[in-house]
Amino acid sequence: MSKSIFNSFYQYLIENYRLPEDNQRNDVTWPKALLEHKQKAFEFFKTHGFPSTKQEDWKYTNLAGPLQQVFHIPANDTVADLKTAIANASIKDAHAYHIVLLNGKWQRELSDPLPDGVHFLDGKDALHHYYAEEYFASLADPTGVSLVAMNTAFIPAFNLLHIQKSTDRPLHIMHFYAANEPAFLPERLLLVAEESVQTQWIDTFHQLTSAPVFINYVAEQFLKEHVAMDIFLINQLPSSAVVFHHSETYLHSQSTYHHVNFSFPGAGFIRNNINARMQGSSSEANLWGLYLSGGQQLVDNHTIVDHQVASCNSNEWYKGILQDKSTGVFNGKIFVEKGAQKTNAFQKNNAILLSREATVHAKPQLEIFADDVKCSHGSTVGQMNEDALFYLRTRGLSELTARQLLIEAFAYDILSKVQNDAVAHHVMQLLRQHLHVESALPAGA
Amino acid sequence: MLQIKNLQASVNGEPILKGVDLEVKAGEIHAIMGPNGSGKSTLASVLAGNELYEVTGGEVWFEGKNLLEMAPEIRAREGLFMAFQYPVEIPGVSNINFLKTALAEIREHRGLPPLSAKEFMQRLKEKQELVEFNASLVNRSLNEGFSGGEKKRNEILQLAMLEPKLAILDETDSGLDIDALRIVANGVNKLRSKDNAFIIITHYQRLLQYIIPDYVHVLYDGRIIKSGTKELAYELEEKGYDWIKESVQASLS
Ligand SMILES: Nc1ncnc2c1ncn2[C@@H]1O[C@H](COP(=O)(O)OP(=O)(O)OP(=O)(O)O)[C@@H](O)[C@H]1O
Ligand SMILES: [Mg+2]
Repeated sequence: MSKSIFNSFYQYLIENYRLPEDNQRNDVTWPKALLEHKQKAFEFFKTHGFPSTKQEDWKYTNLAGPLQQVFHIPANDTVADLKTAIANASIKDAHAYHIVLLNGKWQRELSDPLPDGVHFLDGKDALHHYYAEEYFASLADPTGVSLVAMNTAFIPAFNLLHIQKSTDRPLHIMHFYAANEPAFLPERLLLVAEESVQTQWIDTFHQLTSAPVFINYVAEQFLKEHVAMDIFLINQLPSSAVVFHHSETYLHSQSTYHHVNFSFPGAGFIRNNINARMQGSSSEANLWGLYLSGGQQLVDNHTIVDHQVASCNSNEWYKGILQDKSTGVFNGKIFVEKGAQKTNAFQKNNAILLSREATVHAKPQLEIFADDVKCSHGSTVGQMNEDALFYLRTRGLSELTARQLLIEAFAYDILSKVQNDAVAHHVMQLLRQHLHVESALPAGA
Repeated sequence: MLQIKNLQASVNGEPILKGVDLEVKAGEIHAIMGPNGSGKSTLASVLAGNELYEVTGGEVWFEGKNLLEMAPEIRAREGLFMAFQYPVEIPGVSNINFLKTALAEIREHRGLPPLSAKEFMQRLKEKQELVEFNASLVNRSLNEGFSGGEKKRNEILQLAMLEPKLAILDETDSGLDIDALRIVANGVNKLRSKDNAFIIITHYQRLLQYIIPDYVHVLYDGRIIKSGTKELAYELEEKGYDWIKESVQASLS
């Protein structure tokens, strides 16, 4: 078996690839330097295709099934009723600035005016921004991930979020997707947070139609000195969605990156690559994740914490609650490079299986090339604690309530990392909504 | 209140209870003593409804209802309470929320209106004082990181909050220092009434100096082999169990 998949979707993409100048859909011109990235990325994708399970990082995550479908490059912009969708997606009491995107395209009229010092740019404003030439494709593309190359090659344009001042309220980027036929929807973000900025950012993903979509979202994020950035990622996509999400974050010295990643039953296939590169000393990366899976869902979280310089801290904790026939994959890489002395790097992952037919594959992967390092990792997979369940029932709690309480307690470790009550509450509601403890009872109970 | 008739139970096919008979009336306190491994905790667990233990014979009636047909939570709501020998630590479940939920479910079952937040806090404060339970502990996760004695006291706090008809205390005294023992015993004495009853499992006559039992039973090898009044506890303290074992073996052969 080959290390790559070259299927009919691949053939379709290769045949239909156009550089932006030739693309009639596109009204923006790409600067020459950026076009070169695109050209190179296309060549890379053409050579490598989609990764097969022969590749170590895709061992348990088989793209052959979800990409059997030929997802078409949409010919026109889809129209959708976004007003209702925005109302449904907004988070009560979060008082966030809404930034609304449809299939990756900024919907300026439907978005909130942004506070002073926060700029959201699209189209030629983004393409010709001074940061575009400096940063675009400089962080994600060198990782050699062919789905990132696919993104770079096929995006019609990208968005740039430039934060120069701390925000008083969180930003909320709503990513909506809509298509009337199977569609390939690549989306790209470049984020630059300037020195000493503090901000919270909620990133939610929604689909408005029922045709299958392949969402390929890549974010390159640059945090300058002393930045404190919280990102709360909430994936609410339905079963018709196949999702590839790759975020690559560069941390300058003394910056703090706090990423909390939530997903729920829905998207049939989710692959997240969440990578943090600590390139400035005394920076800190915290990666937290909670997934509740269900149905036949596959949820794969691959993370990289890359300690490139000395005196940085990282904490990572991913927890999974698996229902039905779902599969969870976790891979946590910690790199401590040669000069990265006085590194503290901690990693944990725990999963509970609420069904006999659910599976988890978890793998910590530590590569340490420095000697003055504090590093630990731990991994558990288990069922619900029957002793605890019995204890709660002897106090009058029904079996359902007791199970619910224990699952919420399990989730609480990650929910408590969300330093925003409105968001934490919202996520708890989603958890309750998607948790079906009834069917999680052991047979015969 | 409680009638146990020829109760037999096994775990993994291994018989543990081999025919227990016991009757407890409202207002009474029964002590159950017996050597390690004789089946005392098993009896408590079977009464509480632990599905790990298979009931292989006999009957149990609680207030005229068939206890063995009820799920553990129904037994609790009907008024049965067991203070565990080894209370479970449950990280992430706050002690106070847990108590609130438990009390609400029990009150609903009994047709009582839910307590308001204020009434609940009032009651909690009162019961906390009764068992001299450190206020900071109620805000922590259920039993997580509690010392052995704190866990036992938390069991008694729950008992005080939930007001059961029948409470089974499984070695609540072991692991308690002398002051805590007195506090727990005091609590039980204040909670006892002509309408409720207690079964107290213990190894030590010491607790029974504070909580005076109406009856003392000896459980041995899955059966109650001797019953008496509080004097029996003194006798056991002095002579151990061998003399009873011998008399039982003699009567069997
Ligand atoms: N879950 C279990 N699995 C296997 N054996 C068990 C289990 N529970 C109890 N037993 C066995 O049943 C017997 C009675 O145990 P039990 O805990 O009821 O004794 P006990 O009288 O409470 O003892 P102690 O005074 O030490 O608390 C013991 O031999 C014990 O090993
Ligand atoms: Mg015992």
